[in-house]
Amino acid sequence: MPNKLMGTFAAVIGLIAASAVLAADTQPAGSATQPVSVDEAYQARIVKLAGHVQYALPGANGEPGEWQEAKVGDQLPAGTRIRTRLRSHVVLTFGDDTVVMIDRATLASIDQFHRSADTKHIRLGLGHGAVRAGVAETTLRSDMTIETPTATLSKKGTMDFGIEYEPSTGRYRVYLARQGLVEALDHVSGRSRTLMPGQYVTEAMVRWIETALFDRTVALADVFGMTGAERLFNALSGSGLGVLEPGGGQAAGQCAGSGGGSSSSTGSGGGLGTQPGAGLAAGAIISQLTGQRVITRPEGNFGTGNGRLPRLPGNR
Amino acid sequence: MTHYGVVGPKRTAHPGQDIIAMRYAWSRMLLASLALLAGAGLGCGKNLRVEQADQGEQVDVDTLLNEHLQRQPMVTVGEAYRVMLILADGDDQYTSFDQRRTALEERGAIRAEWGLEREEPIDKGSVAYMVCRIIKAPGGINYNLFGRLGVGDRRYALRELEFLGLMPSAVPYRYITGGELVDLVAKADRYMADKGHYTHEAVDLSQTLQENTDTP
Repeated sequence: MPNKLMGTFAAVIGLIAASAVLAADTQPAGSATQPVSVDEAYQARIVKLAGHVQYALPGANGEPGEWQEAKVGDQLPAGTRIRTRLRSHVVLTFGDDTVVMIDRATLASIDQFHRSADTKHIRLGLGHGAVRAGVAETTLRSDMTIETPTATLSKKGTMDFGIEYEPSTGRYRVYLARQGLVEALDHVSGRSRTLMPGQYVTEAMVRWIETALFDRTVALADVFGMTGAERLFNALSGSGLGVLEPGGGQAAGQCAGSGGGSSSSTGSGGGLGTQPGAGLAAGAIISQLTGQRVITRPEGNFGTGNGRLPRLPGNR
Repeated sequence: MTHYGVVGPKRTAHPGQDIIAMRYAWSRMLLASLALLAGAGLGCGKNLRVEQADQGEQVDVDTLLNEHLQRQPMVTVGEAYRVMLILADGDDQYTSFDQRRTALEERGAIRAEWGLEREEPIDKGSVAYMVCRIIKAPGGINYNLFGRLGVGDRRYALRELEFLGLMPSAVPYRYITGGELVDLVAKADRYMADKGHYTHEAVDLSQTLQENTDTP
């Protein structure tokens, strides 16, 4: 019985803690925690602004002050909160090497911006919305993180990276568009992912190679619309490995009539690394076997799947 | 048979009577539960949120999007109408619920047949239909064919937004939370900017950084 009571008590405490976390979800993750011992404290500067943007400077006791309209040139110290409306964004510079864009319908905060020794520390909080950033390499090391309640983005010398966060569902998307390296850390699962340029990761923390599998367009072969010759060609050369053959797959392309540019020819032959007339011979064999002419395509036929082999012994 | 502290008639020696008594007890509990549910249904036919609707009309646009709605587990019709007009125009220029309803009806974003009231929680399907009309989503065959007639209009609108990646998969009759609504309009606003529904200047971070470096 005491164990049961203790279990119930622990569950109640857990629920209270969970509700407290949920209640705090709409606030930027970080807090104004500028360290006491810093070599130099900096201020961010508004360089571009569109639409309607407001910020609240930190008060004397650490509480956020009144919201005021933002304008270009305003200086924002650590502890400042920023919010944007629809059709609005604001671009901030953190020194001469870091630029941050706070996108539409976003609540964000500047938690830290200072220099310690040879490192410039920038820590942003994101309550909801989206933030993009870019950091140029300089002599001063740059340590930058963007925190949300469920994930943290840590950059490692990058240009054009960002995070989008939805507190209502806990979903987020961390991406790196151009160059450098970005690390995403999921607070819920404790897992992290390193992103290369052009990659992104969501709350599923799926590896990029697995995400890319679902992002690419998959062309489905129309087996019913293909001629017998096309089906045979795909059966022989539809593995996608033709480019690895001598001549970079020229022979396979000529077999399907690529490069000829004429709909009446079955291949010009004489491609790089191929025997002259090889394409013609292959096309003739296919035509003899199937009784159908190989259709010439200027762009080449790189295979659209495996069709059934027509009228060949052992074919089912 | 020994009874320890049991008050009531003595148990009979016939075991079948116990089973019958248990069945009657279950029947009584079932009837009582049904009566309770019926009473609750009669007493709470509509889940009105009057105070929330009042606050949603009084706060300014920034507070509405970034603070007020973020705390709401349900969104009232009045708040949703206001957010939809902010999405459509970039700002809310109306002062009352009736004005907003008229404005949305004139734009074809809502249907009068829905009969939505200001203090009622709004469902995802209705919100999806309004967003689809405001962002001029193309929609599929069912959305354009049956949806225009009012048959499954809100359901097909929700599916259209799912397809566009603006809303996660959901059922149209479920209530939408305030946070979900803000996330939705933020994505819808980006969709409108990408489609050129309003003038929008893209930000090139590299260029901005270069300009910042050049500036003394």
